[in-house]
Amino acid sequence: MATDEDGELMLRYARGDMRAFELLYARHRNPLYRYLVRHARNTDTANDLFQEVWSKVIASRERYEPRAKFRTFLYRIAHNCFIDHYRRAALRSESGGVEESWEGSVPAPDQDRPDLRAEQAQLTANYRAALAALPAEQRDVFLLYEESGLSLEEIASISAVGAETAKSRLRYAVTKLRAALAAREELRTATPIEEPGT
Amino acid sequence: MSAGHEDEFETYLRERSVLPGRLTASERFEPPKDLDAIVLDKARRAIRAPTPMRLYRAPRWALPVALAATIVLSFSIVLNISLTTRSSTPQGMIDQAAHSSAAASVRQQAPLTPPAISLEPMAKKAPQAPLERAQAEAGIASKAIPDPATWLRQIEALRAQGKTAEADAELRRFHQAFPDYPSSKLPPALRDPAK
Repeated sequence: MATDEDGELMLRYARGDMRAFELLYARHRNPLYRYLVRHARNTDTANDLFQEVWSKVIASRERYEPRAKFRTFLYRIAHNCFIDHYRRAALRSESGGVEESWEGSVPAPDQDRPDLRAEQAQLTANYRAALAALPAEQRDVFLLYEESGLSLEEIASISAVGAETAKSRLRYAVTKLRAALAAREELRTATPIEEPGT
Repeated sequence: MSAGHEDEFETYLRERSVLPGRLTASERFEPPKDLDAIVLDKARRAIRAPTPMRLYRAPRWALPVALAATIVLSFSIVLNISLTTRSSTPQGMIDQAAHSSAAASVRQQAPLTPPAISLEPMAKKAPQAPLERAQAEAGIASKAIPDPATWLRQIEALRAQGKTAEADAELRRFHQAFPDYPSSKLPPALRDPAK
């Protein structure tokens, strides 16, 4: 496979070019962070995992060979870090799906429109609950598809499953999330939120 | 799954977002600035630190390839040596070798040592006969069979000394060693009167 631009940046970083790493980091920091936060449902855990993933990328710079896209390489590390974390959490019996401090990362809602704020909060909560309720495999494929920009084949390779399995998992996840959002939407239209001052 | 669901899913595959637009912004998480600083600092320190000596790791295929290369190389060396040896053995050498084996069989019949009589200095030798050359090249001692002229003179000397029996024995050996020696070249005293 031809070397992608990110792969070239990684090779340049391996040769000591810090500017190349900064470019690479700027490109991938947000999607990777979203993948981790939405997976972990906990910003502290996501922060730890985020550091761990980049530490592994840094440590592997000497051995890095651009056989596949850098993006695939990055999310494979992230996927494996998350699985390790999940196993550790299971061992500590902490895998109770604790809803944690997401609020710190959510942009401040529009203070001028409390109605929108309330609606958004409801939708967000519903969406997050539906996402948390997904089986881990479906959630993983869904988040990889939404955040990484990888193809289904690449996601299948990261998840070590066939492309059809990955597609099927994604289909189930999307259907469940849409159903959860639609239910909230129906509820909202049935009981409209009063406009301020009415 | 219904066609409507299938269309929705295909739409999702293109758009990559299940969220309504107004909710998307609320899910746009970003890493905190201090986390950025930690990662970038770690990356910077990693390339500043002296690189640990990289141990050579042979790829997985190296061992079988090395073994195959060794076998091929050994075989080609052996083949090369064998061909070189064969090509440096021309027909002449093969003939010489055959001749020397013939000479060896003659030597078995000829006396191992020359006659103990020394009438003339042996240094005055006739030019080397082909047989002797072959013997010399084959590493066979040329003392075993003297040249015909010398030998004949020695036999004549034995006759002159009255050692007729010994002279006859030596003459028989001479004829065995040189069966084709023309009798016309023999000294008159040593010619067989019957011939």
